[in-house]
Amino acid sequence: MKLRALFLLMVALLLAGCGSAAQPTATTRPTVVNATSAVPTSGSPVEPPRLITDFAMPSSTGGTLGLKDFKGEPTLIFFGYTYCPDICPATLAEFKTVKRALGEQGDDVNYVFISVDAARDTPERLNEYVSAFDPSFVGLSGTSETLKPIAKDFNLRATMYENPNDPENYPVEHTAAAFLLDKDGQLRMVYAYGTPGDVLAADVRHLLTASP
Amino acid sequence: MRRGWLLILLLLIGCGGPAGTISVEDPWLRPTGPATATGHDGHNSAGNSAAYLTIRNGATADRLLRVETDDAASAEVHETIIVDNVARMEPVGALEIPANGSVELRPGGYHIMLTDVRRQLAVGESVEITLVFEHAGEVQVQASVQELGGAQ
Repeated sequence: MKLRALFLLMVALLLAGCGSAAQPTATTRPTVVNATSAVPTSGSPVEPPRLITDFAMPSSTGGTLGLKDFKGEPTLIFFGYTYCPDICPATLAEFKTVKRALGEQGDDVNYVFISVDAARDTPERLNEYVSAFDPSFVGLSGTSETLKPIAKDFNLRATMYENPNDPENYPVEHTAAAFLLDKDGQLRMVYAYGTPGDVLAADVRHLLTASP
Repeated sequence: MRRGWLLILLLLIGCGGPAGTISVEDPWLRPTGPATATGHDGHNSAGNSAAYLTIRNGATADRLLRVETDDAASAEVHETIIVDNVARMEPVGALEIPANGSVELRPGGYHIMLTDVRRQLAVGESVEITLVFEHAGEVQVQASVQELGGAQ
């Protein structure tokens, strides 16, 4: 009799144990883990607007481009490097969203990806990289020397780290914000990583309509 | 009664198998350009890519120990960490998957970093990736290549 009670208890325990393993009860609140914070819903205005120092870098379009070449139209800028697999493509994808959201007006904007890693990012490589997003996107190949004039304007950070396992594939710590300049080359907005393209598009549209 | 103890034995065996408690959803990865360069492993290289997915877990806490694929020189779980608008990437040794919880790998957070992808990844193609968990063992997924600018 004692044995029978033990037997029933064991069956009950095992069934209970298996049941909870197979399906969490409805009252259990699932834990969602991810490394990102909330999506930013707006950019940070730069007050007063900050005139950017002129610069000159080899361009994916051939030749050298500088600030004066982008004046006359609003300009979106992101700093990164083509070996960056995560946030650089994610941000250029948002730029693509901006262009799409603006419709025809999207052609009246410069979309510029400035590489902080000229050693690997030649103009040719940059051309392949940015063209995959949109043929009108421009890539600039920056060195520490050519980035120096604008480093303070953008609070720019770029640090290369060694990768002993794969020396060619070194990671780069870099500024991950997106920047919006007006047609006069003044910095107007700074966007934290992850700001949706629609938010950027609304600000660009505002600049385009405010300045005929 | 003897048949009853057999039942207990069967229940014990049933409980022993943790497989099936982990599920992987929505695996996708970024396209690449042509594989015109040479990677550090000597194969053709189309540059780097990143894969994203969501891991859902059952009642047993688990850990993602490593990831494998034949289509890149290396595959590692990395985390993008952004502090004061400056981003860096750090390898994640073992990714903790909480019991009854889920972990999202998504842009700007955890991702599977693929270095020196060996062929051009065009939209619509897929890449087989094996996730190796401490308890659940190997889980194979087919990650689809999705358009740049879509999917988010």
